[in-house]
Amino acid sequence: MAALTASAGGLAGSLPGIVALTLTLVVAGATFGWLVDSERLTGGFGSGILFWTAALPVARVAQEMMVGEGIPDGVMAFVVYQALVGGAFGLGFLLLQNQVSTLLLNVRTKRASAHGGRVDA
Amino acid sequence: MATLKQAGEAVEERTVVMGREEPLPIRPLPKPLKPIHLLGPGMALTALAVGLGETFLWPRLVMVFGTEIRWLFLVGVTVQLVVMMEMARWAMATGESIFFGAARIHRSVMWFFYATGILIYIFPGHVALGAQSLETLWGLPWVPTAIGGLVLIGLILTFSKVVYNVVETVLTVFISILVIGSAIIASLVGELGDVGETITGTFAFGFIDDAWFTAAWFPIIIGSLAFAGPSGMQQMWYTLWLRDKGAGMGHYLPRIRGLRGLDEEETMPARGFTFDSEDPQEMEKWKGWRKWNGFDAGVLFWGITMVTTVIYTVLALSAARIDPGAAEAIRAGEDSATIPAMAEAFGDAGGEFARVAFFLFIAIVGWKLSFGIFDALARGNADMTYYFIPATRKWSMSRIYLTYVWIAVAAGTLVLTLVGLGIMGNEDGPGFILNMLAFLSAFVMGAYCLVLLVTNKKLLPKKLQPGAVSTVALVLGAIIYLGGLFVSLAVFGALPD
Repeated sequence: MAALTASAGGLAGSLPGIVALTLTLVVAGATFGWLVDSERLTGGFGSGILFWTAALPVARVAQEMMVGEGIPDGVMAFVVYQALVGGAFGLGFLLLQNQVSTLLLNVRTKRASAHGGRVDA
Repeated sequence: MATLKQAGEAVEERTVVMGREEPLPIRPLPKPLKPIHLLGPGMALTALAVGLGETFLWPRLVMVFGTEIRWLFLVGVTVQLVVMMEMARWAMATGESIFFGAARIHRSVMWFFYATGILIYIFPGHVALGAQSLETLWGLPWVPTAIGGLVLIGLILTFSKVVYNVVETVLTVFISILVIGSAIIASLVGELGDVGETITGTFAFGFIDDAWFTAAWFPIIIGSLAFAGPSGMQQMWYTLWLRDKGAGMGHYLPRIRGLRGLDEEETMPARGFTFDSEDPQEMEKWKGWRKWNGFDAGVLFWGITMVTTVIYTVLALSAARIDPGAAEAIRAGEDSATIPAMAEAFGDAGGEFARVAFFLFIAIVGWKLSFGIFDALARGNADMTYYFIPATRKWSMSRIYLTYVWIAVAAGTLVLTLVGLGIMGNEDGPGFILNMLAFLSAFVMGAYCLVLLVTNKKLLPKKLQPGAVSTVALVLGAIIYLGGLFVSLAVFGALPD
């Protein structure tokens, strides 16, 4: 395979966009966590995917407003598209969250067992 | 089947005869796992299934023939869904792998799968592709990077306590990152029209292009159908993950352990177990297990596979729209040119972040594929070796498994070194071996459809056997894979590509 050198353009040019999107997604993720903890959402796949179907368009619009070119023409098509992609994003998010939660619970259980205690899920 | 005697008298164990090997003793079926909140071996299979077929091969076909070709992908993945459910039916009803099931038909069938697995998967093409992406991105020489990736795989598998738990965790995390990351890139570069076209094309049943029936394209179409979802022997290894998950009667079989867990290893019994299918309470539990499997297969496997391929098709359409040069590279089908072209196009549209992320995702795809394949190949071959070469039972199943892991790492390292030194023809192996692999991969998929028809329709008790829909789907699978292979060879003189 021919080796190609990396583009001269660095990640620095993308930094504002990366930061803005990360920020909005972190806020959305924290909101999801709060909704589940306060039992306003079940935390299952269905409610999680629906949440991100709504949250990703909001996050992307916020990102565009902060560092992008503003709300694009054809805003409805943009929002609908982001909602569809949000569903896919939500699926991946829930899988990762489920795995991380299980790992953390296992760690807590082992620590509690080592000290003779009990951990509730 | 022996009958129960009066209390105080010796009770003969009740058994069920299934084929040529030792009858299976009856044990109570454990209570089923709950679906929805518990991930399963379907995730491990999905992580293997989402590879170059979904991320590159099928988007390329869309670029050439239009989105209407995607109905073939839907057919291919749906056949694989049925295969997955039927593999699970055998594994959960007996606690045995489908390799053992093949031996119950005849041991020669099982040994065919043993040899095929080694031949198909000994060449580490996936990790090589991933390493090449990192070389393109950061200039890291790909051969030592790929070898490092293989050694990392060996170390992770060796030093885990219960190997399956680590495999499921690693593969789930990586497939999650892949879905999240590619969704973000799609969010930055894609448009609603791309999604609409892709989804409507998925249901364009009956669309046919005359070019498909030419020597240039028919082998590629058949090869693509075989690579829609899990390809080669991946579905067969799923039965081993189910066993180690403790699904169904797999509950009674010990799990494969890494070095950190060898002191807790239990003795592997000489065969599996089954449950009393005439007991209504047992059948209620069985329905629960099928429901769990249905979620694992239907929602996780089928859902994630379909979502991922839609995303990557959108990415390919976006890249082509952004950069006509990328469109030409994708249509030409050479991944070494296509991947950098797509990455550059994403960089133009979504910034440097999108370009870098795409290369990293290809690296992730490559490494996690090899990770899953190495575990599964070692697991399958250890299973067959332990049960059917009695002299090896002086070692535990886990030790045999670890031996196969490092044989695979060593062989892969040797191949990569030879390619790196220019002694071997190309990074995927000499041409004649590639042709054999292409043949075997499609052949084994047709073969396991036939094996499932025999094991599940003839060996399982009547109440556990599949219905007409599953039976038809398995027959369709055998026709597609074996029939397609035959037509490729006999009519077009070419192997599935």
